[in-house]
Amino acid sequence: MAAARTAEGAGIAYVLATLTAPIAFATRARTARQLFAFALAEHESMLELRAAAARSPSPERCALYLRHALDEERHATAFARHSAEIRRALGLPAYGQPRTECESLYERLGERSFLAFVHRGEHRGRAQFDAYVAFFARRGEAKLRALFTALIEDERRHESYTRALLVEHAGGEREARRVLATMALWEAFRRWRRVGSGLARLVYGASMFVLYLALFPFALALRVLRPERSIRGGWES
Amino acid sequence: MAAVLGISAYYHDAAAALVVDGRVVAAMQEERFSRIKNDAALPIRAARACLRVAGLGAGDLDAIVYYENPFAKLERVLTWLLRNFPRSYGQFPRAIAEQLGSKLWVLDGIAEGVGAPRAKVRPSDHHECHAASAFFTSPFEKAAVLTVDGVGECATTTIWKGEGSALTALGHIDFPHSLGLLYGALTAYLGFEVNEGEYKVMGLAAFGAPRFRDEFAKLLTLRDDGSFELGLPYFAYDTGSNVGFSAKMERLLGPRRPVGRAWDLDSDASDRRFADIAATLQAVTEDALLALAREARRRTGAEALCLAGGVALNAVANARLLREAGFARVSVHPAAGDAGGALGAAILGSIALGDPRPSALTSAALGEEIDVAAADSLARALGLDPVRISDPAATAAEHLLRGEIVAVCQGRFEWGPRALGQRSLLALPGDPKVRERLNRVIKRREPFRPFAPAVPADRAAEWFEEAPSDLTAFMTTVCPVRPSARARLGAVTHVDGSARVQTVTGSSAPFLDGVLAAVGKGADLPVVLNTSLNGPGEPIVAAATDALGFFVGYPVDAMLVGDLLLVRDRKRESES
Amino acid sequence: MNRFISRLRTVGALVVYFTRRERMFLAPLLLVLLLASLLLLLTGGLGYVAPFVYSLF
Repeated sequence: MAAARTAEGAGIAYVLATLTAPIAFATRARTARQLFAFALAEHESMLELRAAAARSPSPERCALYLRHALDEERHATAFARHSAEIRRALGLPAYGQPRTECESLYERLGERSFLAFVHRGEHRGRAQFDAYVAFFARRGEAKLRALFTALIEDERRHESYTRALLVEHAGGEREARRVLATMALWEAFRRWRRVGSGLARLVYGASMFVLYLALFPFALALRVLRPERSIRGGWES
Repeated sequence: MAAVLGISAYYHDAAAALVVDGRVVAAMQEERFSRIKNDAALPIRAARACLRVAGLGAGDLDAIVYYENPFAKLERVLTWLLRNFPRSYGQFPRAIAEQLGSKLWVLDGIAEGVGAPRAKVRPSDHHECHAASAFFTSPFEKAAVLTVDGVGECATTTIWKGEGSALTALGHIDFPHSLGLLYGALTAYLGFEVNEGEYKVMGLAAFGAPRFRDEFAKLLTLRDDGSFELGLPYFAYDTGSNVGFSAKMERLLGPRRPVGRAWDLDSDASDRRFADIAATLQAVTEDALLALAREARRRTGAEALCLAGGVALNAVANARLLREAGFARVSVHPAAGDAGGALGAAILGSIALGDPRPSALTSAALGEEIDVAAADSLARALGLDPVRISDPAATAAEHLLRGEIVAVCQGRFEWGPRALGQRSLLALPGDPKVRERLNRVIKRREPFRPFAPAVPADRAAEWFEEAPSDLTAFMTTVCPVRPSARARLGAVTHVDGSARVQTVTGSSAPFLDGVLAAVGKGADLPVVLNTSLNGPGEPIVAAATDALGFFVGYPVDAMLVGDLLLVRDRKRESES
Repeated sequence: MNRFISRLRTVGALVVYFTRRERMFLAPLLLVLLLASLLLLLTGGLGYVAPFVYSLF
């Protein structure tokens, strides 16, 4: 039943990716941007896994997370390189090195939930990449097809070891399924918050515009009280 | 008798430093823990690590000092936004979000993160912390102190007189006139990332000639009193977190170099032109620093100079200051950038509570000790074959003498951006093929970036001029390589014949000292190439996990973690 | 609760800092800032990029 449920999840991911691929990769420029977005996701995954490796009390799990982190780093580099190539061919500058923050999810969630979260991510990612392999095959883009095909191998491995570790850590299949279901809810909540924060950002931007106008009298006051010549350079005191 | 924690955060290079009873006990940058390069987030992990090293808890701290004054900073940001009304609209939402969202509450965040009462956390002054980090860790009783960076609260350049345990402010230059921001803007113009690319610009400068002095005269004007002024229309200043150049600068110097394009100084004329621009930037920056240093000498009458602030990381300029500024001795703090402010803050707090100033810094190994046992079990879990050996330094030398690239992790990791033998990648300095392999396969850097040599301090003069000095212990200067030695030191000599030498003693880096002695016996030349142990885009390796991750991810020939040896099994790798 | 009190202390110090003579005229600006802070409370959110999530577009 668990297999069916997660296959369902993967099924949805595959379908959504197939539907959105023509939009996501509509133009060369969009493709480059999308690939760099993947590079950022891989980079942040790498940081999360490195943090997990550093904190995990067991050398065996530490080794697994570390190898996983190195894979993610390789993926990030590959995505960034492909993105840069496309940008260069378009005469545009590359996006630069992937650089992200890290939420320290291993610390925040604990090992069990972290494993479930990573497993769900890898499972979904693999399904998404399957869709992209088919998509780029249809479009005749051999390079990008090869990129995703190679990555899927790693994702499969990540998907399977995280599930095995989760079952072991949770103490059984049933408990593992429960944790996976909990993380599904947690992720749904995050997605909702992300949409909300996107909207809030718009509200913030609009409100700040109004507030900025309110600065006008202060700007005038400043020009009177602290004239320009005080930023002429040279020694003060 | 006090325990004081110093913190720098939120702008560049967050760090924590701990001074106990007037002794520098620990100092570490957050990036080494978070694995995010130049991480500016609150350095809670670094702070906890400092406490671990000292065997103290948060409750044992007498004071926590933050390296600047968040209110003064907010004032400067607001004033700048108002002064540039209405042009500043683009920056307004983000600047306010940054300031009010996190930066204003930094003292509260520190108290909560470290687990200490808010009453014990207090602000300081940005440039005073830089000055303290430079002067109070130097060997000088009396010195002129010059701090030059992007911008603190409001000042960008300051002069101090340091005497005993006291620092007296003698003058400052305010935002927006800033050498740090000038160098940063040109770094961005040349297609590099600001706050990471400045070293690359410095290395690139040696490939060009300063042909653009007329153009740069519009960007930077030196005055007779040692101060300077920037040509503001050429820069696109915002509230200080991002540095930019304006369209006017592109009209002056030509279109900017696109980010990420590969460099080809041999056949691309436009790249050679960019190198000339870099060379001109370096030349005018050096001129400005010389003028400032001479003014500092005039105001203080001191024989010694201490430097700090991000611009003090410019080793080529430091060499010129030592030669021409008229001081007998010059010293630069190894973590001259914002990270050093954390140590300066801790020292200032310690002195304020009545403790003596610390003794001179002889080693930068102020980080956390590597856990060799953890490395051992992790290596086994990774399927590697670690071996315990009796003489790590001799073993390292053996591998080096075979022409191999050896990674070393010994003891406590370094404070500051340079690897000084505690987390280093080593190789012999003669073979250009080794340098090429290191650059291309492992570090994946631009081809024009040079590597640096390490040499025993008491023999440095045999191969390098102007060595040893107060600067060479921490690799904060460059020295000319003697013409007779250039053939044997091909991999570490830059195109202009200079090298950023590290002079090593038994107390500054005992393991590296041992390696150099062993290499010297075997090759008759006790010099090794020393570059930092990290992959491209990541901070220097710190703990066992990072070290082993590096060994698995990059094709080094051998790694020594404490007395643990790992050798790459090429046969097994080619089979798998 | 402690967090709130601690931040109140910071706000108090901020007011003291801005009511000094040469900065007096900026003091009313604090009201504007206060409004901005309230807005910020609503937007404290997640970044656009998440680990292990490949955005669909």
